[in-house]
Amino acid sequence: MTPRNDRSDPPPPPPALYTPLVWAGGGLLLTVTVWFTGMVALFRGFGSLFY
Amino acid sequence: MADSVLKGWIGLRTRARGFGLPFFASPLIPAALLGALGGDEWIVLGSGLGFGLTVLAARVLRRGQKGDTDIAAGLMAAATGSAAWLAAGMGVVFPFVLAAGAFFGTRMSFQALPETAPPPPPAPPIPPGPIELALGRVARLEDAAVRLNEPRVLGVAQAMRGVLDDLSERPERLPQARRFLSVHLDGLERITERLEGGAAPPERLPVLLEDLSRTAGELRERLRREETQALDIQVKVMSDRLREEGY
Repeated sequence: MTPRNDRSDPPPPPPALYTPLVWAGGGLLLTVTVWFTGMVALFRGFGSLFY
Repeated sequence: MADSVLKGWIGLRTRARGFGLPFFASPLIPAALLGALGGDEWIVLGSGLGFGLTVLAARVLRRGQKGDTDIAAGLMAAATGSAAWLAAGMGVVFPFVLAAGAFFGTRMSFQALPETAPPPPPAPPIPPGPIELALGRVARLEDAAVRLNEPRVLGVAQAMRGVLDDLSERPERLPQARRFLSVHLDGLERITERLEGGAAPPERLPVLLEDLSRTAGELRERLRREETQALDIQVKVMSDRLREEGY
């Protein structure tokens, strides 16, 4: 019989199988926000050369 | 099968955690350069803030401690918000929307990656023992004696240092010298304070200082004698035992 060890924390639950979908959603959200902001700033920077 | 593939994937992502974040903010670098060439300092400031905070978020993520994902998500929100406000000129409300998106995007991107517990705080320093404290007081006495140009006080302080050096090697003998440390050291400190305050040394002072020096020497001698006696007893006991066992 395996001895019980009540003092140790219970092991974390295994990650859900849909976790890669969550990662993909996060990547998409980062692209839409951070990348989009950077691109708008880039166009504004380009525009500042002429105005 | 799917579980083991996912575990391997998580391991891969954990090793590369945070490296991809600056890529999302990379358009801010040419934006800053073009803004500088065009003389628009707001674009330079917003792009610099945005990219700098993103690199900081990546650094925090690389640390991989508990709660670091939330800190990095906050930093990404600040980076996106400031870049959208200052560099992209998106007004006041829209940067908040983008910042919220960056916050949740960062949290989602690094979900389920293992985080380690932060290292325990360093142990508090061990307080100095009575011998160390006494050695510090003797050092101050020696300094004061040099300042006062009082070789007799210096002699007593050095004799006391000898006792303390002996006690450092045999701290178990400390109880026998506790009285010496409290009475003699206190007394010599008070005398030195008065002398430093400008008091003229009384006639009996040299005799007292000589007594203090002698007492310190006697104490050292007594400690050494007791150590020798303890060694004698140890040798006798060992010899008797060897004899009893027939060696």
